[in-house]
Amino acid sequence: MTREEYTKRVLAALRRVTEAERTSIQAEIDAHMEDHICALLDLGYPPELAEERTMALMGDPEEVGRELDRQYPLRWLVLGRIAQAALILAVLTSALGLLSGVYGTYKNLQARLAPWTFISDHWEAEISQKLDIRLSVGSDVLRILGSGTGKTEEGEPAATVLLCCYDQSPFGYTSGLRVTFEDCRGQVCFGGCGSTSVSGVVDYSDCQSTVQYGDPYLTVVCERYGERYEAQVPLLWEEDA
Amino acid sequence: MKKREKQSSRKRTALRRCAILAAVVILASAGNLYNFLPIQAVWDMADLNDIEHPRVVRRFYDGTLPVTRFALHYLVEGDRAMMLCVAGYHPLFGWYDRAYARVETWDGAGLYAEVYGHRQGGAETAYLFGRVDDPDIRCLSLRITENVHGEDPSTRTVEIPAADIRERDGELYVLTKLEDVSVGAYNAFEVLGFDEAGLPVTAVEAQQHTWAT
Repeated sequence: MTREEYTKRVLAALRRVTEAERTSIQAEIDAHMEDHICALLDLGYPPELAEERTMALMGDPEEVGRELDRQYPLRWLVLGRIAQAALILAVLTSALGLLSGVYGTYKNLQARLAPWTFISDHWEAEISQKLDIRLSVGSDVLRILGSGTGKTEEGEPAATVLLCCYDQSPFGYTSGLRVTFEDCRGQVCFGGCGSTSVSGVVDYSDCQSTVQYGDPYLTVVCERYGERYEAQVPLLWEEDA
Repeated sequence: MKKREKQSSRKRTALRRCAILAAVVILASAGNLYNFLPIQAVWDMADLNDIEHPRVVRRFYDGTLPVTRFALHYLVEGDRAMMLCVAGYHPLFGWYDRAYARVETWDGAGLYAEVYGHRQGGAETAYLFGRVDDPDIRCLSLRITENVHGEDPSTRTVEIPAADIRERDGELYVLTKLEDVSVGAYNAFEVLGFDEAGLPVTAVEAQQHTWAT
């Protein structure tokens, strides 16, 4: 029996190995036999005898094959394959989630660092002074970006307040705070808001409220679980400008 | 003599892949990239609804609507509000916020209630949920006024089964499925609490939150 035949008989007894493992085992057996044959050659053995003694020392090839086969339990192969498939799936779905997740975080950071890059020209035109007043309301931040004054369609004096609301965490969602307005006399003001919600992450609102001409400020009020959060928004009238 | 490479055993390979998979799942979950578990969608909805320190009271499955066939319903309690929410699943997005209704529970009232409704096509599901804080209340009933703004509103009362009022961690929660009930602006709901003798203790109007898919 030659070395090649010995190796072939060992490999034939392997039932539970993959092609890569079979190649690896073959290389391992060849290397092991090579080492042993070299050692015997160094001791002066002739090549044929060295090969014969090596194969005899390694034992019955079928028995060697069965013993090697037992060292490759099927359960680890199955677990490894399942983990590999799950890993590919997890990476693919996470990559998809990365797109929306990064977008949400980007919008949150935009609201914190550069909110005016989101504000439309139409909204910006209604503002006569830019502000940066921030209220922490629960896990959200209510940020007053600016105020303006003018008149309603009916010719009544009105104030405009530009707001945005975002979560304190760049990865969180805003609860969509509801605000009301009070004039400097503590009276509730009536009006309306136009809002834009960006993926539930940031809310921008442009609110108009009726006031009296010359009122120095408007109070933005947010009620949450019976607690009152408020901020005074200065108003700039034409004669003040 | 050629140096032999150390071959990775199957066990080592499988465990290494499992470890990498766990790392990817943890990173994706922590970074909100993909919700691998429904509870993550519940936490997102709690954030959306300003529910502080959300705790799951009940979890159940109701596949009546096509949109809830791959979804789980959760009754969630927070510090000052509670919600009934639906976490849906999509292979591309993971578990996500499908629907929710919220009721605030901070003002010391003895009874809190909210009606959640969801329509899809011709099918509809509706639930009444809430919490009973008044220890005198022993049973509840629901008064439904239909066509409330119409010329001829009709009113009927249904008993809320005792089995739908359950205790959990010292609190009494209500969760009952409303059959043959349509949720919407044309109907009004009022929950009535009665004591052991059947005498009325309190009544609260249950606000409604409806979804249409």
